[in-house]
Amino acid sequence: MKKKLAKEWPPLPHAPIAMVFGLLEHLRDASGGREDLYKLGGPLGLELDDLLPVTEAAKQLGLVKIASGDIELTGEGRILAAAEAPDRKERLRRQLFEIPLLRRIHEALEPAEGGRVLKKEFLDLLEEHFSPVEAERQLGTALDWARYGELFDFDPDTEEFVLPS
Amino acid sequence: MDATVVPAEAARKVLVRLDAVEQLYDRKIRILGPMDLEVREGEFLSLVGPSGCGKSTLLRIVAGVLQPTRGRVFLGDRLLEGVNRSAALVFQSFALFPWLTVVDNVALGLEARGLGVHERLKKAEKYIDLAGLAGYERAYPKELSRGMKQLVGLARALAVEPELLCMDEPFSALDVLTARTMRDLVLDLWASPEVLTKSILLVTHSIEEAVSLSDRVVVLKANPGRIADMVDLASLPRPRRADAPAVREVVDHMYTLLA
Repeated sequence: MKKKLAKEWPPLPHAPIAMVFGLLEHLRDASGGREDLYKLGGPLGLELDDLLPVTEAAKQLGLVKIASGDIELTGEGRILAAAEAPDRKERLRRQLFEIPLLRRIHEALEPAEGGRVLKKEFLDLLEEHFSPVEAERQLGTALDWARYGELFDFDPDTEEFVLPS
Repeated sequence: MDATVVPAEAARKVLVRLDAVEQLYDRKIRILGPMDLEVREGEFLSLVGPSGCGKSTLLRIVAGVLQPTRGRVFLGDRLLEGVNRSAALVFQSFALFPWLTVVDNVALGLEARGLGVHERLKKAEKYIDLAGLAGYERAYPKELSRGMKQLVGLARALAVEPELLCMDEPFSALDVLTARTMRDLVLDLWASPEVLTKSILLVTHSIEEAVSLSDRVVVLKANPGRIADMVDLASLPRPRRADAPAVREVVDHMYTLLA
């Protein structure tokens, strides 16, 4: 059961979206849009706990490929790394729909009245697969990414996720 | 590095001028100076040096939040007294109000400048968009990553449309990747015709950062804080890659000065 779920619903890595952009820009300037993974560690000064979430986030967003110790920009990753601000947001928004949790929340909001759904509903759903603390963190990261792409927002007064107005 | 002064640069209007400024502790221990320094219109000026070189003290003197023990500070040709209203500050620690949303944090400085509520929101929105923060308007600081918090600090400072943006170690609380994208963004904003602020004073302890960003770099030595060199980089094209020979040469020069 747990295995199957992990496939459908890979946990979001807790990497801030700004850091993902930093990674894309770093790779953009590396020769061939590719870098040895280890060089992001020691030489660049990233600890594993910072490095692994950001590479995983970029991978889940379809912006990098990781193979045999190398990390490389995908076609979309290259475009995004070179894009100017407004275009960047729009392109990232499209990539965000690749993430099951974000897509799921967005799909739930669209038909909902006022484009609003209680956060608790998603927490309950996530708590079937994660600890309560981790479920909360999953939604926190989802919200950080979703806000960047203007996919959805959160209303703390009503504790609801909400489509952007 | 060839220190030839480009005539157009030299002719630039001086925004802030420090004249024989000194900072003493307890009236006898010299912390800084005496030194002269000019911040010119349209330039990206960095102060770089080790801890204790007085770079943050200098920034605070320029911003008028610290009165030097001796010496004078001029704003154009006027003597600066009190806070420098033509400058806005960005701090390493972000200094956001936790109980205010992003949009309210950004709009806050505008209220102090006497703008009406409609104008405040319009201006806040504009700088939120420019900083790439659209979508985060209603977020609270605790929901933001460190990078995003610093963007809010930056948007708040730029929103008051100061002549001079003063940034005190703005990237040093960020991881290397986030810092990297923030530096790019600051350069983009500085170059954007939509952003009215055209002069930047950056304090950093990273020589590489100063060289990658600035038109001029003031290299400071510590104990007491004094100027070791003033390096003109205006002729070095951007973006400046760390491995470019001209960049390496300047960076080496600065390390040599401080070593």
